[in-house]
Amino acid sequence: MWTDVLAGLVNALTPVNLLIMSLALAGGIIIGTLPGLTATMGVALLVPLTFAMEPATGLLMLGAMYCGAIYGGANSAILINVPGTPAAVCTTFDGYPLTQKGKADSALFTALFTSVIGGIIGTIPLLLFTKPLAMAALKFGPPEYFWLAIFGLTIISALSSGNLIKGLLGGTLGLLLATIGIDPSTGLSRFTFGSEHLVAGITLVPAMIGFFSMSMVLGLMDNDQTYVAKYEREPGVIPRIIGQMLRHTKMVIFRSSIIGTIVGILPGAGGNIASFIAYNETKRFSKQADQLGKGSLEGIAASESANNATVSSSLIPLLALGIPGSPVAAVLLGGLLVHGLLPGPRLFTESAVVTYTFIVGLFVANILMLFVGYAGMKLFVRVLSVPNYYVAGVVMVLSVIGSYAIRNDMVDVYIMLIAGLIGYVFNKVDIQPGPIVLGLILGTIAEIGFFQSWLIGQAQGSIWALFFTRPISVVLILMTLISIISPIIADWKKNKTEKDGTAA
Amino acid sequence: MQLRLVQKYWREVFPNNLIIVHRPGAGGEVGFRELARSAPDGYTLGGVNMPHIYLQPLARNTGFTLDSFAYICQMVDDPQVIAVQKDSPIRDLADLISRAQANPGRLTVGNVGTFTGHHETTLLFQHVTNTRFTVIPYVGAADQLAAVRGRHVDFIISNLSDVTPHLADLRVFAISTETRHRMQPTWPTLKELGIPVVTSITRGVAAPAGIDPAILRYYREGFARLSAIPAYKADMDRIGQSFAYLSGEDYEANSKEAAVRGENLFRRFGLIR
Repeated sequence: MWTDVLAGLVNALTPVNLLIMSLALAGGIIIGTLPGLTATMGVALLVPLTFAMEPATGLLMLGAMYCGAIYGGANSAILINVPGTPAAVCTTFDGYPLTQKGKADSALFTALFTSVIGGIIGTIPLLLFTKPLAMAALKFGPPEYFWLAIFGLTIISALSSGNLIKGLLGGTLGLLLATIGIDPSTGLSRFTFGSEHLVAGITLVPAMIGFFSMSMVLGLMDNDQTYVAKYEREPGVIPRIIGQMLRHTKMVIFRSSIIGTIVGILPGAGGNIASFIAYNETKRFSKQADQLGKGSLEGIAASESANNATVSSSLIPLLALGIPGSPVAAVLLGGLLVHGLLPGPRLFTESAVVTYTFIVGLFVANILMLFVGYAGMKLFVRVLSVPNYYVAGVVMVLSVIGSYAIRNDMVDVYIMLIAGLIGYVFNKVDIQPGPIVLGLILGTIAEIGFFQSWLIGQAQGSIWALFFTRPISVVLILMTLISIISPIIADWKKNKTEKDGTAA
Repeated sequence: MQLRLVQKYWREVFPNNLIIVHRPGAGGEVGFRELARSAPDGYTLGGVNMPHIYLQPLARNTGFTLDSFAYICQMVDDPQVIAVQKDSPIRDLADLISRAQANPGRLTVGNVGTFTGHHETTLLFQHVTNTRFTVIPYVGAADQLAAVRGRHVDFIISNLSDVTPHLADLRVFAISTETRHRMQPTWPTLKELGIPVVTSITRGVAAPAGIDPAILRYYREGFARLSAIPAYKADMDRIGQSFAYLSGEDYEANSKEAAVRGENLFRRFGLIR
């Protein structure tokens, strides 16, 4: 294996490959940054370009685009409170408050740095443990996905800094929206009100664009400021951030990258959820938990390292089993097949050179991203010098284009606009879009997991046993309980020390 | 997947560019509906799947029926297969059937979707062998294959192209073709094992109904030539797509017959009124 790895390294470092990777990274970062354009779209656009290329170069191009796009979402999340891709939703929580405090440079570089680290950490298991991890991912069945989704829903409490009820309202709305469309168990349509346009359900990305982007646009038009935020150049930001990350935020980055890696391996769960879970765990263990949501670099580190870790880990089940771990991985599967590369053990034996060029190339791409991303940073931060009305206009246009581009269906644009209105109104009463989007994502996973487990449990004689006695499920149930109880305990302790303090 | 290959060879037959537009959603329904609604001017073609086109309208208001399309040709005939994970305790098809007859509803079978080819074959199989399984629908082939490889369902009724990348981890009991398949000659057919189930998912190309017959003829001839390109056929084999060309007229006739049988089957199982 190591000779193949070395051969892969040499291949990855050829000038042609380095150039293609840099261009793909740049393209990916731009696509990720622009609200409305997603990683899936970017990779899908590039697949036909790979037909004429060497397989390894084609794969490197797709991989670099994927990396860049997932990182790129952070730029707009930080600067204008609009996640450029669903994976960057959690980055808005701390990124935008930092921009408003004039610390955009810190936030942007933190996002870049932690994305790179997350990407590198996420690629290590891809290189070393692909087969065993893929087999472990197979053990996740319907009950496990159900409990994972339930665990995910408990994160709503972490996202609703302040008012839990409002967070639950948002989350419930998301869950209800997820039921619109075809019932996965019977094939009949639900809540479509006779309209065929809603048969495919509320598409996630347009809804997300609407709840975040469109409501932001309306908000910008609504407020009195001329600029999105004041921009203060921060000289020496790079060494300062790197120092801070290495000294204080090591654990956050490491833990979030591991979470991202694990969640990314699960087919169907993917990058969207990973950053939420990482954010939740960071809040649980952080010594400055109350800073999260107000502009904590830890929050950005958690979200970005997790989502870039999923880039490589979603490739683990893809390369080992031919089962994509995320929608982008599914597009990549197409790219592999067109070049005659069949996933499975043969990929690592017959096609070893191509495969290891790809895997090692991902390491190289992440490192290159540090440079390409920095150039991007300097460019994108200039949006803060553009008056509100231009920013609003451009974001609105991009939102419409992005929503339409997903399926070339105007329905998605309408979904986006309506979600935008709802999001804007909800913002006014302090119901945040994060829980809504989380409910939308998790609702489908939870429901499918539930009814599949019900049917299998019924067939096997005990629904109870299926839901509650499988080892991985038990772990997830415990994590869910801890997730619900620990904020309550933390609050109780805080009140107790306050009371003791005032009593003495 | 198969359309990507068509794209690769398109220019060898047709003078213009082929632009592929993805219309994901609802098991193809969104795409089929859009094709049916498109102007029949000869500039818009689409991929069509059977039995989806005649089964989906049974479940819900889809905005199209079999008659909404002018069929250009069939490209792929993808038969169903019955498979288990390779370490499964079920020995063979006879073992599967006897276990099922002894414990109705106890065995779980994974399908992709409802009102789909897998579902239709599963119902037909139960009807013919007098067995009852618990059908577990999955959203996509990736989930279905992951489910059987992870032993979360006892077996799957899937199709040839979906299982081909996973053969190293599966045992295939039978295939639903008339005679043994050229790509997998070691797999017995259900028919030769005494179970008269011959089904498949077919994929073809169509235009909206109402297209000018001259234009339809132009495309039918063009696709006939494209389907004959040896490199195209070789590529299809390599990725496990079971290539089977049929003319538009034949495709339409077959599909209409199958639609009548399919509707009766679903009605017998009480899945439609």
